[in-house]
Amino acid sequence: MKDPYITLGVSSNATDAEIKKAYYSLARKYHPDNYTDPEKSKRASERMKEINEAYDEIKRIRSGSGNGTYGTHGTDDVGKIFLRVREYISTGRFTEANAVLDSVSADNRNAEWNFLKACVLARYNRYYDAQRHLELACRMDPENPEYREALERLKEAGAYGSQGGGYQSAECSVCDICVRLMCINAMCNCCGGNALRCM
Amino acid sequence: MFGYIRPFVPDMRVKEYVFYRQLYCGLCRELKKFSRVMPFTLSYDFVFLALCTLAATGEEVTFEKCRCAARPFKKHTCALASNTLSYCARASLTLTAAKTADDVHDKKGFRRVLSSSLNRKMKKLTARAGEHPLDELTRKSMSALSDIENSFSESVYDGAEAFGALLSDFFAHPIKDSEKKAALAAIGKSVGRWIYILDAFADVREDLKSGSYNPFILSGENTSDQNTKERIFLALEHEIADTREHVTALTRGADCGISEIIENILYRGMSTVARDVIFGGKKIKDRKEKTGEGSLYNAWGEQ
Repeated sequence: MKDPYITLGVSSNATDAEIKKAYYSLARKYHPDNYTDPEKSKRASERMKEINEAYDEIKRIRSGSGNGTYGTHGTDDVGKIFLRVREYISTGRFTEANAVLDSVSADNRNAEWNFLKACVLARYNRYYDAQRHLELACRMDPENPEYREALERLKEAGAYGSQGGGYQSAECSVCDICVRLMCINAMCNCCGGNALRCM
Repeated sequence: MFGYIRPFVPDMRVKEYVFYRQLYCGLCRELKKFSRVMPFTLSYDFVFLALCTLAATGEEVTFEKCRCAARPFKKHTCALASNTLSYCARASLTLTAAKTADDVHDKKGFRRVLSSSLNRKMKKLTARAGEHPLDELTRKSMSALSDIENSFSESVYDGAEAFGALLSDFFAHPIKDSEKKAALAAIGKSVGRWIYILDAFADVREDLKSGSYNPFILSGENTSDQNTKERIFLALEHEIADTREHVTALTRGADCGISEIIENILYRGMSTVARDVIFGGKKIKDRKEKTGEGSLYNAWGEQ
């Protein structure tokens, strides 16, 4: 990716506070809500994406994980890293998983990265952020069923909010029983069916 | 405070609606004890707090006929439950004072002048009312919130968690029973997060103009985009879903009329408000807005 400092329009010696200020004023300028024309809005969104990536990259560099530690060493290394993250997740070590994910450079943040990041975020009840990452994962890798299923499950869990539980969508368990009784009746020997012997 | 936490009236029994209004009047009466103008700060949100507190403590509610300046020609009934309502009124004072103090920082120009005179008034009232443990808790939370705003976090959840923690304290504070206290702390937390996220979303346009911090500005998403709107709505629904198990614990053994209203607010009222604000672009800060009657959506969620 292009030098992140250039994207944000700051020098590489700028303080953290100056970087944040530059980031915020660029975000304000390029936010798609400022543009009513859909073409301009779309271009603004793309620009925002670059700006966000640049800011994330600078944060990553400055947090001491080092530039290029997990750089373009090839997808093998990255694959191993993601396996480690999955292990952390399955053993409930979400803080470690998150730390490893955050140290991955912007170029390697592929579909799987987004998926794993979403898993960690969902654990911390950050549903909106998790969904964004899942949607990104599905867009980057549309064939992958794991990501699609995760997105579906996330949406279902949310729908439980005001729709589920109350009488609005309560499963009519009485109907279930009725239908089952009618089936049994039809199959029952004494009522003309021949599937079940009742006498 | 914001007025987002309100019932969905078309789905209420008449007696529930009547009781809700009586509780609102009772709260207003308590607020008048601080100052004649305090009732102007009254919002539906604190009626929800009163309902939850009543469900947890089981305090008896009595009714009394009274008059008020808002409706001078009709004597109407108000609900009295002095422990609960005096707590809610005091909580309302604390939060309003915190909000006006915050506004003095955030607003510019003429609005700042207005805010600072309001702020002075609030400080006087708080001093007169005497220090309350909630004041200290609120101060801590508000300073945590302003730290988060200064850190330019791109995630709405940093602020949401801080605000959730604040409301969690408000809901849990007066409760002695440990099970109910835990349930209310959890409900307060989810409701706080819900309010923060919705309010941040609703304020994006305004904050873009004024340069105030808003996490949705940093995420760079188009708030008119249908996908974004659905994602936000789903995130809000998640918060409500998180309250379900705790509401069961709260309403166990509580008066069923009160429980019904609480469930109406959580499971029908809040999502209606969310729909109206997100998809309908409504501003809920309109005081003329009745409790869910002016909604764009009917009882079945259709427009």
